[in-house]
Amino acid sequence: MSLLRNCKLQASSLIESVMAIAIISICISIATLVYVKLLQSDYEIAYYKAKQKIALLHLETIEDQLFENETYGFESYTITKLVKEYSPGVNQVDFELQTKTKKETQHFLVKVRSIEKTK
Amino acid sequence: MLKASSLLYAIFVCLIVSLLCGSLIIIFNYQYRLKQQYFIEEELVRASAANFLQVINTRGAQETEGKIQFNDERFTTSYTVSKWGFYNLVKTKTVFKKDTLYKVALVGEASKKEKLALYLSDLDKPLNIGGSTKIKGDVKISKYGVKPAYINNQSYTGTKLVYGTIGVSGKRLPELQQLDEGTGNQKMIEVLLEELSGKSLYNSFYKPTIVVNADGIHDISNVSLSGNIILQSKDSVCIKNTTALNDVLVKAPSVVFDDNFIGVVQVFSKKNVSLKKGVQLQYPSSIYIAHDSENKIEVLLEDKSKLAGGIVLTGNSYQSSLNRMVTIDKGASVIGDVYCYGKTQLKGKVVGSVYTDRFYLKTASSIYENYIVGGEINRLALPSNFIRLPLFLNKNTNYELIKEL
Repeated sequence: MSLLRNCKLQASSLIESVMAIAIISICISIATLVYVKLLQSDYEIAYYKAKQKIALLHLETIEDQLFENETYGFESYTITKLVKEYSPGVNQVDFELQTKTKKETQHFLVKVRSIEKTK
Repeated sequence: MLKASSLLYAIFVCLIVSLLCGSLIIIFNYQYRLKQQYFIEEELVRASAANFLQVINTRGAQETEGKIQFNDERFTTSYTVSKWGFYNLVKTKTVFKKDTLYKVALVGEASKKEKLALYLSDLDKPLNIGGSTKIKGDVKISKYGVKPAYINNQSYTGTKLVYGTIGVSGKRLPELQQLDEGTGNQKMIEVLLEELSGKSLYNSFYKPTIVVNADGIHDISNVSLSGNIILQSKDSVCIKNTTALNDVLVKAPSVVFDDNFIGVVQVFSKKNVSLKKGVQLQYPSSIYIAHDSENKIEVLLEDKSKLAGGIVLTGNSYQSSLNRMVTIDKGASVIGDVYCYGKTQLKGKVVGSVYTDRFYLKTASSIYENYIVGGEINRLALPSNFIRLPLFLNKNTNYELIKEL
């Protein structure tokens, strides 16, 4: 207590306090805005999920020779598969992914295996 | 006395907040760039794979070089198609800014749908089969057909002589396409085998071919060679099982693989090639002898030896063909094609096709011509995606990837 009595703190004026609070709040609001903007501009989780799904669908296309146009709908994204002949024996398979904020197309070439007919 | 000043504190707090904000932006920016880099690399891999497929599909057959693009002008792939032994070697290089992706692979012709198990030249003699011999697949033999044989108190034990259709063959074997000892790179560096003793050597297919000279050394042991390497000798060599050979070419007049050797090699010889007990020449391996001689030229596969790829034994003169022989002993097996312009002694198993002038059988008591006893040729068991040796000229070939190197 004796220590506190010895330490004399001069009060700030009201205007000074108001200005300080205003500056701090402006600064924090700008920081929040920047942070939110950064988060928005990043890739969403749905985008990564869609990319993984495309990799899987591509492998399935090669393995099972699935050359049909299809649309796959998921909770947070959709994938559209488009197939066209690129050259004899090779098909071009395009996967178009769409999330809430991003749209992208990935192009692949897939070799067409000739299937032997069994008697 | 401590002087209170809110404005100063406010500015100080502001400074700290802006520093935090700035660092956050910098971290985010770096992370974002990293992701972009990762996605670009992903695209590069995709473009490289697509361009590689294009090269195989459209340019796999001829030795050539050039540039190719698919869908995206940013990713250009330069390619070279050359020979590595029997097979074609495709090299691609896809570049985007500072990133470069190399791809090297052996490619070969995909199998045709025909199921020919045996082609035996029509030398006006029937094919005689005895014991537990099995021929599965179509055959083309002389007009005298196939007959069951009775040798060494053994009669034919199968229910059908041939598990497939029987056709008539010609007087000569189908003509081989021009096969040479393809060596990929024109530039070569010579190294002596003595310098590599106890060492391991790998050479990329983007570098000049290394020719390992083994002149004067009969036994090759304690060395590991892999990749763009030719092991060459002017004398006969014996490759011991302490040697590791992977994707290399071996050129010597006579080559013996010692017991239990395992490796991937394409052998080009003049006199004979012998696989001792337990030798495994894994896919894609092959043996090629194209030579005319008055002396015996032989490829011998002893018990429990295996070769996946194929054997070609050929030459120009009919007289020499009488001295050429492929012997597949009991317990030995070949997966792929056997082409022999000469005699074939089949006691083991061939999963694939056999093209031969005549069969030969030597027993303790006698020698028989056009007899198979206890051998097996099974074309039906050969997987449909097996890439066979490019024996015959075929305009409409479909090229497939054998192995990435």
